[in-house]
Amino acid sequence: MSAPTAEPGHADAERALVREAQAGSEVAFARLVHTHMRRAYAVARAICATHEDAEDAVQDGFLHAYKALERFRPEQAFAAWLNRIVANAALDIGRRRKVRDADALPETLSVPQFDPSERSELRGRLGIALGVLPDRQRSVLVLHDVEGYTHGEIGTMLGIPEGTARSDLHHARATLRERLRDLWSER
Amino acid sequence: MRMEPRIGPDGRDDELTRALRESLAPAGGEAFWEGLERRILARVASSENDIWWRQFARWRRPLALAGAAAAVVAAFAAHHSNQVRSLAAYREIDASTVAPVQVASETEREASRDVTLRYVVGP
Repeated sequence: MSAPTAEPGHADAERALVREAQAGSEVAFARLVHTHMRRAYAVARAICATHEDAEDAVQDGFLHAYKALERFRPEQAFAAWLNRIVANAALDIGRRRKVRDADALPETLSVPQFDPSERSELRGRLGIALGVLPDRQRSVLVLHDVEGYTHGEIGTMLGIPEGTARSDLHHARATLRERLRDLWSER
Repeated sequence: MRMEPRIGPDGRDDELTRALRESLAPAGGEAFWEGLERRILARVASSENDIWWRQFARWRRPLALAGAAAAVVAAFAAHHSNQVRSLAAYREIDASTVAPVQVASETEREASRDVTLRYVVGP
């Protein structure tokens, strides 16, 4: 993964930890959770519209990872493998939410929420601008521009070709710049 | 990490990217992360019994030890039983005055002689 660059020693220690977890050590798995949960949350939050959904996605993701740990090959990068699982869990939650929203009455439709407590104009405007982006474009934008993942990694996580991730990012940036143009001219 | 222009005009660390990062960060600071870690581990622990290979992994070492012990006991028992059987056979041979093979062949020879005698003497 390009965003968090793992040192060779760290990679070896993590591989050993994964092997211990595969052999049934709960302590080793708890250490993997401790190390990777923040990054996993960031991935989930980039995909999910709400904080609550992102938290559910992280829990689902770790649970899936735990159940599938036997199939994980320790020579792979654990973080990349885990983030793919978490991204899948987040996409699943998004799909389920869409179905629920489609069944619900129009006035109960959920809209993306980005920290209701925010007060500054920039954050308020940003939240609104992000809310109008299509889900996938928003995910690609956050994963790339905020979390620092490459197009290839984003493509793998979201199950889309790298070129699509590139094009989504271009469109998302263009929409945001258009929506927030006056902020730049004010400065 | 590349420093190409991101959302705003000033690169990755511009105000807009920072604002976006703040908006997406969970409220509650360290307490949130501690709580999330606890919730993840609790969910994993509650699903523990559903995962067959983890149960197997837990019992793998005791099962391997028990298997090895059973194999050693079985090998010893087989060896001991062979020894007892061969000792008994030697004792039986030592105890008998006529070898069973000799008795069998004598009996056969006598029967054949009787048939020849009956043929010669017979009408």
